[in-house]
Amino acid sequence: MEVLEQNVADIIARHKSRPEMALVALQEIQSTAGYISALSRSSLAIALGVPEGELQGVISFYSELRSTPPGLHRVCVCNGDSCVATGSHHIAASVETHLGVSPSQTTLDGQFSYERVYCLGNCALSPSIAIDEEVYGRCNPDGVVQQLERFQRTTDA
Amino acid sequence: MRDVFLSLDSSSRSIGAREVEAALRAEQTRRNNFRLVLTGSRGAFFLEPLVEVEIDGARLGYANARAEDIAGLLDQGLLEGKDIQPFYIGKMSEIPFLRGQERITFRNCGVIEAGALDAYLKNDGGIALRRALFELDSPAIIAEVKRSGLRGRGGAAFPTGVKWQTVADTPADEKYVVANGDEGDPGTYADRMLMEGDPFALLEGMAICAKAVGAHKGFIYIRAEYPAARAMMKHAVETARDAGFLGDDLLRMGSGFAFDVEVRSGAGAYVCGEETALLESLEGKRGMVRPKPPYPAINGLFGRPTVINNVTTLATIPAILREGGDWYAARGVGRSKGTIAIQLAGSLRAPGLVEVPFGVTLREVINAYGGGLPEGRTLLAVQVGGPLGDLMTEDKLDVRIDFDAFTEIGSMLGHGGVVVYDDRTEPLQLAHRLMAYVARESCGKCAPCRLGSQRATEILDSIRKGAGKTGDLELIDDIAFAMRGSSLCALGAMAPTPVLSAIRLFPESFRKN
Ligand SMILES: Cc1cc2nc3c(=O)[nH]c(=O)nc-3n(C[C@H](O)[C@H](O)[C@H](O)COP(=O)(O)O)c2cc1C
Ligand code: SF4
Ligand code: FES
Repeated sequence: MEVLEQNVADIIARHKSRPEMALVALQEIQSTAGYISALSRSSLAIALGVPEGELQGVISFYSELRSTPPGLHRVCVCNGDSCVATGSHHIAASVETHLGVSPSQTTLDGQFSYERVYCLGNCALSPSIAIDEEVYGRCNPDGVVQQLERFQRTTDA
Repeated sequence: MRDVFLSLDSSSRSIGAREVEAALRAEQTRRNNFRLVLTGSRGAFFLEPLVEVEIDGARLGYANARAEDIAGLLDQGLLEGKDIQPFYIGKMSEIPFLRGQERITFRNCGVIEAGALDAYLKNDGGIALRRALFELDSPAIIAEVKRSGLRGRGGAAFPTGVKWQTVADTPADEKYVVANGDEGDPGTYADRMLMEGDPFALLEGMAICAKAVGAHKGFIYIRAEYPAARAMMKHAVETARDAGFLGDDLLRMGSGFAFDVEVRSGAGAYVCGEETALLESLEGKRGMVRPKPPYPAINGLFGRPTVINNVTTLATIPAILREGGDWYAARGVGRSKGTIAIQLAGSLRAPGLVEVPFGVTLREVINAYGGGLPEGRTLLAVQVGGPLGDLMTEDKLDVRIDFDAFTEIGSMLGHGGVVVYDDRTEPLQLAHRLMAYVARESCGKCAPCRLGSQRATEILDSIRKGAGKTGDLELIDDIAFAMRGSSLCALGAMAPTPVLSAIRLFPESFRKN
């Protein structure tokens, strides 16, 4: 049986009976556990005193919130206006071929989750991607593959 | 000991500033003859990574420095301000990109140490708050803001002083100040630069606002895609609290005024930049737009009167209270007073942030500052004001940067984002993508927006695939009519704008089937 990690349980306890903290609690759970499991969702719903369906509605509304485990690293290719204007579809194609995934998928080895995002605020240096929390600018199709390989190597080692 | 400056803004880092920092740190340990100061960015991203040295009060720049160049630059006399090619660009204040700008809101960005309260105070920070707490009463602060003519930089260009007045005049047991740092328009980055490069200006602006309207609690809502801005704002809030710039007795000099701020994160929803959706999100719910009225100024966060202002709007307040509303209003044209931060993006040689008084032309900003299009590219269209702005072709570029001049020609200045598309962009693809974006981001409350954007996307997609039918474009017209007429917010109401302008300007692109 699935059991709650202690730190997730702590987060839930901290927001007890405060339904207005639903989004914050979900964000905290995700940043601790990587995603929001069914068990953490139902436990949080009970603690906040809101119907579980309502909480599920919040999770499904926000594209950042996820109900499945992510890959070890998160790769985001910007699909915002400035990046598209400077050729981001070549970047996306290169990443998709290299990783063998479509948007919102995780590689089979669990190394990378891949997503398209809409602006990283790096538009003066488009096209841009982000790997985990770091942004990379003025990307080209070969460069992003090298960048990904660097991450693969660090992870392998 | 000389001061050496480096921008660690997340954009600067995206092209190697972190590695340059490591190289500078290594040399600093070895040589021990300079102090490294980490700043935000000046917005001249084409010069970054940019290392500066201060000599006799002047900042000298070394542009496009890579980590492997640092030791050599120091050996060859960077600390003495030597002209080392190809890096040396001379006095920063005299480079063409910055010379013509008038930095008011962005005066500290890229100049002072980011997140250091002492550096902020040394550069006139805190003067405005002291004035607001000890010299002016609430009506006097609001009068000053009204005199400045400041209009919101988040999109709607609503007069800031009028908004504050409404909140001040509405009695309530509790009121709130909310900074909108959702900055959802692709192609914009002014709020991000401010939060990363001059976080205390935002906090000071919020505190002044709080005093003016009688609020004691503030929130900064920052989009999920901005982790560095969030980290910097959290750091700034803690620093300000420790120093008494936030807390129970602001400035700890018997002001007796309490104000504190909480940093909140968005979760990847464009519509949460819309003020009422943002408030829903702050209340922990789905970001569904609320009908207006009631306006947030009367019935906002948790049903209380709430000022919700854009980050750039609030960060401009300290300058206005310090120098006076008349001083600010002396710049600009018509009802667009002061300066605006234009954010250049897309296909340009030198995109960056340009703060200029209202009144210059769009062409001037694109060419004189943005450097025009890259070699061999021709202009397709310019989109100003985010993904809901219309497409502007060559013949419209002489419009003045002025909220009302843009409105007159059916365009929108909005948050000041300018995205340049060149001949690589296919108008049909562009229209499809923009509509698909709206379909994806619609909050779903109004049927015309939710279903219409979906349907219009499908139609554009079928034309794209060569399966268009007669009557398709008329159908898009009908959908647009419904969306414009019965949408609760601008996302649905304005979504058809760029698509219709693409069809009007480039009809041949929509006819291949
Ligand atoms: C769909 C939509 C998205 C918006 N996104 C933002 C945003 O990201 N940032 C922002 O400041 N304002 C945004 N706005 C405008 C806000 O609703 C609001 O007008 C603004 O925050 C008020 O602040 P200001 O008066 O200082 O401009 C958006 C509006 C709409 C309709
Ligand atoms: S127009 Fe669209 S985004 Fe705006 S409230 Fe209606 S459904 Fe939501
Ligand atoms: S549009 Fe890609 S970073 Fe802004």
